Amino acid sequence: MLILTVNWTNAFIITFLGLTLVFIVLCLLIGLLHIFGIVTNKLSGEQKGTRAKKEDEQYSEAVFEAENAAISMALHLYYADVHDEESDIITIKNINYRYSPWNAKKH
Amino acid sequence: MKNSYFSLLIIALFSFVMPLSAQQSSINEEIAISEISIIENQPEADLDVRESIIDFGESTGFALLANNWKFLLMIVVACVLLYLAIVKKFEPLLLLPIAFGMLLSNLPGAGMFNAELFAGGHVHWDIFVDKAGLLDYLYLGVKLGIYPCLIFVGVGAMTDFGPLIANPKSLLLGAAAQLGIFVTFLAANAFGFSPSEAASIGIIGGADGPTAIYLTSKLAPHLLGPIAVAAYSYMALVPVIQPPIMKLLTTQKEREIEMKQLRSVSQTEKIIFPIMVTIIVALLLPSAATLIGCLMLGNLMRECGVVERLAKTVQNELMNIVTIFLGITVGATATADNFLNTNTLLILAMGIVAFGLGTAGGVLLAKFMNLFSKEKINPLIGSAGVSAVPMAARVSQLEGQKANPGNFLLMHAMGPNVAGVIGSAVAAGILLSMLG
Repeated sequence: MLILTVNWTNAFIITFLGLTLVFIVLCLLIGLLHIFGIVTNKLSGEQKGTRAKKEDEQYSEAVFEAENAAISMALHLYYADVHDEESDIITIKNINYRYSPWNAKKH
Repeated sequence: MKNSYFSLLIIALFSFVMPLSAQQSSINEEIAISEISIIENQPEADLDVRESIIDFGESTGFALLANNWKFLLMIVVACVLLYLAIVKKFEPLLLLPIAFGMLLSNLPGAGMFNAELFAGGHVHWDIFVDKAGLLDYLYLGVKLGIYPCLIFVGVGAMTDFGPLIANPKSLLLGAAAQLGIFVTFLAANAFGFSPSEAASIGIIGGADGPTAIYLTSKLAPHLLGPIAVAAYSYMALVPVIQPPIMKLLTTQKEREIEMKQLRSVSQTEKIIFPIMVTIIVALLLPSAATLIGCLMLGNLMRECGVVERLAKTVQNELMNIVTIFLGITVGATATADNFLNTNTLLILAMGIVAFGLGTAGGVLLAKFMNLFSKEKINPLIGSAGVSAVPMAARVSQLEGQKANPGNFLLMHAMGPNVAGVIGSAVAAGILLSMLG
């Protein structure tokens, strides 16, 4: 009975319109962010200018990638549990010789 | 003997009142003297000690508890929530003040929160000063929509929109995760809730506490207690609710997809982003301007680098202070009459459905996008489209690593995650403009 008393036309309009509007607003933002990204990239590209600078950048990018690879490798080893087994005990091993070469007559 | 003690007490009271009245104006003096003469002329009524004790006993909270079991049950519910917050650590920063606020407002006779002052969805200023308790004054911050917005300033100041700027497509996943809000809106209508109540229940699916509180305080303030409890409880349960849905909707191969590293985002982009979003969203959807404006103000403070002190204050002190007030007062709205009914159970049930549908919406859209895009998206990041920052992104990361230990999805998932915050604020603005 409750279902029959609901104004379903209104409910569906709100649902459909609401969801569509959310998508429209966020799609608009996507478009703007894309344009924004292109403009920023172009501006930063113009600023770089000389070739030497580009080489520097390539070098730093390469270093950056190498760093990333190292970090990823370390994390992979950690998560995959691939590392040396350690006893986790740091101590001086105390060995008691019953006979010492210094006091044992037979030596 | 006891009667003589009472008469001594009355004499002492008169001796205190008499010098005070002597200092007042001549009119007051006359009135006081005439009143005293009337009292003197009347025979002094004997106090019945037994009756006095019974009256006192009846006025205590214990007697009121015995008369109304609902209060007792609410105190038990509050204690269970306190247990969940303290022992199980379910969003303790919010659940603890919420539970304590619930406890305070359900102590009969204390009069700390009076729901009748806010009856009918508006503040009854004419009786407010006479009747209001401490929590009523604090609740004005919720009623007038101040606390959720201040929380949003703090959220903005703590959020890095970099992953979203680097991968704008994430916004689509944030939009898809709002599916839960609208489908639950329909379901709540079917269960007999009014459209305003249904919208407030649906917004639980946005997994954004401040947005849920803001919208509910505007559309259905009488449901604020159960909705806030549901929203924050389910946010704490994201690691439990989301993984089964994620696994159900994805294949092992899809979960193993590794995503390309995101480009670095310049500071200029990060500064312009909040200004641009505020202008666009506020012009398109004025009803969402408050939430989005506050979120972006906090973010601008963080990114511009010239108001470091303000950014730190907003992230820490302001956020913490407002969280205390918001939690206590939202909890206080969960009075026995408001909370102990079948509607609360329905809200809790529909809240979890909204959460699940939001998660499913994000994952399914990510799968759909993979049909058309060259660079594959790991569908697990779609589930982060429900807000719950950063818990939902962390769940994506963990599930991704379970499938492929070399997979690092956290930064990719942060994009849809912060997009979800924008998406739920936009959805709230739309519902507010349609039903407010």
